[in-house]
Amino acid sequence: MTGLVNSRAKYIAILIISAVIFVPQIFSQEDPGFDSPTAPEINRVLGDQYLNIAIGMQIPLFIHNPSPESGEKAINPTNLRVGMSGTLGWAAFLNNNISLGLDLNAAYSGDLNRVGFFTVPITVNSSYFFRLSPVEIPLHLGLGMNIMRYKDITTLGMMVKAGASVYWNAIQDWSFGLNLMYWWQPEFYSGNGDIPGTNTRFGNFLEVTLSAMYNF
Amino acid sequence: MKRISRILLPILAAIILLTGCNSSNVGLFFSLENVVAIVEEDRGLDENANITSFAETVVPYPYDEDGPSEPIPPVDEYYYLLTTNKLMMRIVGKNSGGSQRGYTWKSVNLPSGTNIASKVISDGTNIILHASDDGSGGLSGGLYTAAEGVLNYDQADSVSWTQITIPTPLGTDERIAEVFLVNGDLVISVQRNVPSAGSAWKLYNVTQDNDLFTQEIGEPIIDIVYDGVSEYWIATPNYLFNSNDIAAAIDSDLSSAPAIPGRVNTATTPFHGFVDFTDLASDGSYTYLLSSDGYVYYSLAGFTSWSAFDAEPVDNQYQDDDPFFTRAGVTDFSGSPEIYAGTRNQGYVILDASTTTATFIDRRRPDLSNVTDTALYNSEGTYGYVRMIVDGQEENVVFALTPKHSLWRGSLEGSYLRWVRE
Repeated sequence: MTGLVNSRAKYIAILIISAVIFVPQIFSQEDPGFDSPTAPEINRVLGDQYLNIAIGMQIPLFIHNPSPESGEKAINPTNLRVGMSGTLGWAAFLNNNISLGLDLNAAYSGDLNRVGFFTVPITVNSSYFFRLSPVEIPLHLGLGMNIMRYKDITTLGMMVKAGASVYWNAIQDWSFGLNLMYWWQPEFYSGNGDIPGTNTRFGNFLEVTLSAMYNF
Repeated sequence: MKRISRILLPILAAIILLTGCNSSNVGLFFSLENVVAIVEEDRGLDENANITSFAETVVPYPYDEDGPSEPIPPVDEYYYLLTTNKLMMRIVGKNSGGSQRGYTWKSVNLPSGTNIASKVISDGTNIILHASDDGSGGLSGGLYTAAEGVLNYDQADSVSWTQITIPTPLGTDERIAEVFLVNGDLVISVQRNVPSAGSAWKLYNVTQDNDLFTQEIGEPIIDIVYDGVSEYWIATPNYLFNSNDIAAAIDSDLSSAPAIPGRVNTATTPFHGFVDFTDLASDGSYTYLLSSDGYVYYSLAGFTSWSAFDAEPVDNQYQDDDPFFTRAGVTDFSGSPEIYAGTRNQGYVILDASTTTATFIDRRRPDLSNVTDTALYNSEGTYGYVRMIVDGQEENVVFALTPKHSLWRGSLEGSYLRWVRE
């Protein structure tokens, strides 16, 4: 099962990376048979904002044990199935290329016995936009808090996510695109409380979503 | 830019400061990493069933498709019975390797006038059922028996029940709270509603028609055992005491009940009382008592003294406020006595009973744990109050009774347990 999930994850990752590389080239090619209108250049200024809504998949990758004891492995399966993920985001441009904003995510996956794993990250994000009009390719980096629940366990921890998107500026205010985000969800335990330090683990996930962006 | 920074930077700082909380005592990803697939046997039990009691009784005659036949000694087949509010049964072929006959659990009809089965116990051949009408708060109904030869798997829905007469009838404010077989006698715990004062409990010997103790006590009676000589030992949620204690010193609120002799670490380990006895389960000279303070106590024959497994391993997480030991069974599957102990909220554990140190045994098969094990082992939360029962007939089999996830059967295969959910 885990191997299957990992295979799917690799397959999807290849597709996404291919899309990121080739889609801009496709859009940039001119059709020799028609007079193609030149896409208007996209310019953002300080104070421009956008809202973003995304929905897609959460692909569990692996759980990292940073200090494996004898007989333990550093990389372990998540024992989760591919799940659902969604994002609501807001951001404002600081200049033509950089935005800063907040994302509220929610994701769900079922374990081997279909017991639910829920995660709700809330992150502060910064994005850097490359542009090949009418396509925008933002790179994202986010840091924030992460509420997770599995069985009777609820945790509040840290969250780091990084990734890229490809947006097509369809009409003046609306863009549609594909997002690929890597989620790193560390769960640190010092061993001073009830939970031993040997329970420290880092969750690694891939989020693949389709999104709509409203610029205003 | 500055305005955005003024908003976001404090949020970011708060996020970082607030992170790092966990409501449990186990890591979430650690728990996920160790979850294993449940193997379902699909025997017809609801996967969320609350298993409230479990019993076994032999089939008195060789069983054939037409029911019991020639009266020869019962050696090959027996019944499992359990209650989930309903009474369920299935027949088991001891030497048939889990034959298809009786593969599924069947619902057994309850005695007329009842619709809730609270507990089923067995003396090995006959079964005794405590059943009531759910609209009566347990005040109507009573004890019923299906005698030897009456149970029939193919006619499970038409069992003829005989009500057991209680020589001294219960009062209108009394109900049966628990049912025990003690030293061959049928004993019930009777709960009496005391207006504005809660409840009071007493023990009544149905077989002998007498109260075991004249005084009522202020806590429910969890279990009772007889020492084989002269004394009864009784566990309540907060106390363990013997019949001499009750006769001499116990008042209605148990304020003067003695702690168990030989108990250790009283200064550093909170005492939560005793939840279940392992009823005289013994590896020869020892009787074990699993306690809700996370200790295993043992007594030499005759209950002359009690001691606790003394060494506290680093990972004995059961000496805690929440997870504690519940019903356990003692086996000698591996050629050495082992205690299979249920816990509250952390599945089950196995303790080595060949020593008096609390040494845990892991019988999960590491290389195939995703296939052969279940989340029952040391699991967090989901399984609630797990109780363990050792199969009295079939070798190398234990059962785990759970309140939310049905009945599990564990079979020892080599050094490892293979768990399936019925």
